[in-house]
Amino acid sequence: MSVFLSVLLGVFCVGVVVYPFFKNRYFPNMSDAPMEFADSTSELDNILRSIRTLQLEYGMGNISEEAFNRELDQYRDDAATCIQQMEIGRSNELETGVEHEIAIARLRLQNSDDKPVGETETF
Amino acid sequence: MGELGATTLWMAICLATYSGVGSIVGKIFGIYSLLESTKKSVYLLVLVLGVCTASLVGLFISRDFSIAYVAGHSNLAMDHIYTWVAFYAGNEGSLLYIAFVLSVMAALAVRFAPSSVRPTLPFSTAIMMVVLVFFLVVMALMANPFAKLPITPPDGEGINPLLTHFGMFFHPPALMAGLIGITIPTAFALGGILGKQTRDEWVEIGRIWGLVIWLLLASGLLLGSWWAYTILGWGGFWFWDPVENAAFMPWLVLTAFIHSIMVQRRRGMFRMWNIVIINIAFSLALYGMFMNRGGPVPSVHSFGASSLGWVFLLFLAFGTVVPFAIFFWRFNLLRSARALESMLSRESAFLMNNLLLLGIAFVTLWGTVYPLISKLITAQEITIARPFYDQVNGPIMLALIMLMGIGPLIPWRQASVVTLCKSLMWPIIVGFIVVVIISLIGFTKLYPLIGYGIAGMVTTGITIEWVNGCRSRRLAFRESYPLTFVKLLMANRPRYGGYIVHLAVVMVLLGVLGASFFNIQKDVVLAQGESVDVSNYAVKYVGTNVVSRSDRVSYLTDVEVSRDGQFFKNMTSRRDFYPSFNMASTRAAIHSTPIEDFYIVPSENMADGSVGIRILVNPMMWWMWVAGPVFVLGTVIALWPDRRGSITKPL
Repeated sequence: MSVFLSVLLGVFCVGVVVYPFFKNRYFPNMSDAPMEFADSTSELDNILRSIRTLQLEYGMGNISEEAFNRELDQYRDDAATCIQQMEIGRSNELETGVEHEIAIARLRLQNSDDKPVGETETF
Repeated sequence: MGELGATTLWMAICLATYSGVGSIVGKIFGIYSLLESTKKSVYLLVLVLGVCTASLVGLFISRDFSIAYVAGHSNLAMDHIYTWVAFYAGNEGSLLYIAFVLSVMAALAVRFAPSSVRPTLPFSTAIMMVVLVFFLVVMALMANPFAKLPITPPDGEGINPLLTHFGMFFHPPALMAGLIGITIPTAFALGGILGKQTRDEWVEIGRIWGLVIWLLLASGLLLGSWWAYTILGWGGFWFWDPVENAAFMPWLVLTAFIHSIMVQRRRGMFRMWNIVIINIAFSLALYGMFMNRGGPVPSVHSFGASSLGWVFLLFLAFGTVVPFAIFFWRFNLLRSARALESMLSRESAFLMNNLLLLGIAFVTLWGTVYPLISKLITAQEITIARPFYDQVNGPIMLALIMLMGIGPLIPWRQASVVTLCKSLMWPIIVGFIVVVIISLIGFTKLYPLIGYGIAGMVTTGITIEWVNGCRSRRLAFRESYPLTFVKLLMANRPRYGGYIVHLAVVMVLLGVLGASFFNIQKDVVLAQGESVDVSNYAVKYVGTNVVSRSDRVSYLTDVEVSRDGQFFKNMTSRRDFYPSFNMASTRAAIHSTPIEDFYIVPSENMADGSVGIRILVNPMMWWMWVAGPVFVLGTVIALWPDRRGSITKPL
């Protein structure tokens, strides 16, 4: 019984480990493609969270009006810089994505050329 | 079943090695199928090690004494309920438990890794797998839980009597999970810098894992204190034992980490500092596992003791040198986005908090290793005892808790002296009033006076924060008070969850101060019918019932307790003697209230029928145990994900 279960588990493991090589033979997974720019929305999230905290602190009377206005301006500047960087990042990411799509298309073309005549493939 | 366990152990080694090597190769050469395959093998590890774990538990359930580990840690008399405890009661089983927990955490970390860390996830996976492979290989080659005995004995040796306690279902698993779990945030930090992601990409996932691990360690430490209080028979809860310290130090450093990571999350600062801190926490976690498994300092926690100390020492050296080598390799890329703008800011308060926590950790480490150093230098072992820790760590801890009260009242970036004084005025006044009231009652010891004053100050500060927050929100949104309270909490979970945890720390402080400075202890030998007075209690020894079982003799000691001259209650404490271990374990009888614990435990049963009893009155101990669930509540609130997702996400 133990031997049977061990063999079964072993075969299952090998199957699961090997499967991505067949599944992704013609279609590389986009989600694992190298990304030059990580998602920078989190930085903007942090700035907006900081503004909320600042508003809360001001509402609670922990900071003066002068300090509130000064820091709010600084956070706005930070947010503007961050949005600008995100725009640059997005356009570069788009270029990387297009290059990746072209690479996949080339791979597909190459694979279809290698196939024997008469064999079809569904994309 | 033993064969299945042994086979799955080797399968796990193959899968973990494949996953670690494959992740790096796949990442370097851009082989996406390989990366996908290694990810799958991380998930498979949970299944394979789950089967391995289930096999060992199954062997315990079926009492298969042909397996050396089962025969060494269970017997026919052992209650089935303790099967789970017996599973990790020894070195081999605890290693399997650690490996299984790490596989589960690694699978969760990989599955739910945010997009920001995905480019460097293969490096992080490889780091997790290096640690996992170490544990698996040590198990397979040096501490195999499925090793067979040449001859099957008719009965096993039995479980260590000290482990047959309810707290043991959670205390060791929580601590072991916490110690090994530090691997996950460390892997994200190091994976990030290996992949040249040297900004704040790993911060959110590092914070989440840091909090989870911190909670596991905090729960484990509190449950361990409760276990010591109820079973070890000395009436205390913390002994500064080397193995206790070994779990306490990573918790301290992790506490520093979950604060300083907030600064990086919010302000992009402390980038180097956070990497250093998580590396230190990882090294201390490895040190903790080394101490528990054949460490050179003797301890009451020697359940997992083995001859594997040198292997763990080597891995400790590896686990300390390599992360710091990676850190120094990428040192120039780890510059913070901003500099500290003012010494009077939330960031500075967090930095000070970090320094104090690291100070306590360093003092504790020094006290733990000092016996070894003294032995090496003078050939004479000098043991560091509780007074050293109390005298050095006590004031630092009080300063830390005071900072805990001040820090949340200081705004980010820069605070003005006037507004800070205004915010601190009421907490300081209340703290002062508490000191005056306590000294008027007649308690004049300096430390507890300061301690209770600080507790009053922190509680007032937190209460004012809640009240002001609710008031401010109510003015803006015109909601009812209960709704305002809930919405304020939900909108600022890390902040208010943190406040709840701070309240739990105050509760622990109350318990520690009460039990350390105001406890009353009496050790007496009573003949049947004799009584003794302790504080306002009178204890009359009624008699002892002796119950013999196959593995132990239980002495049930009945006493009648009066309070202020009136009958209060009958209490029964227990002392079990295990002949095969030549060891006794006790169960104290405790009457616990928020004011004080009345604690009674038998220390010895004499041949003439008299009994040695320890009686304690521990003020405010109840608060310490109640703090546990409050810790959990606060951390869960701080961790709870924001269902709105990214607040900058386009609709």
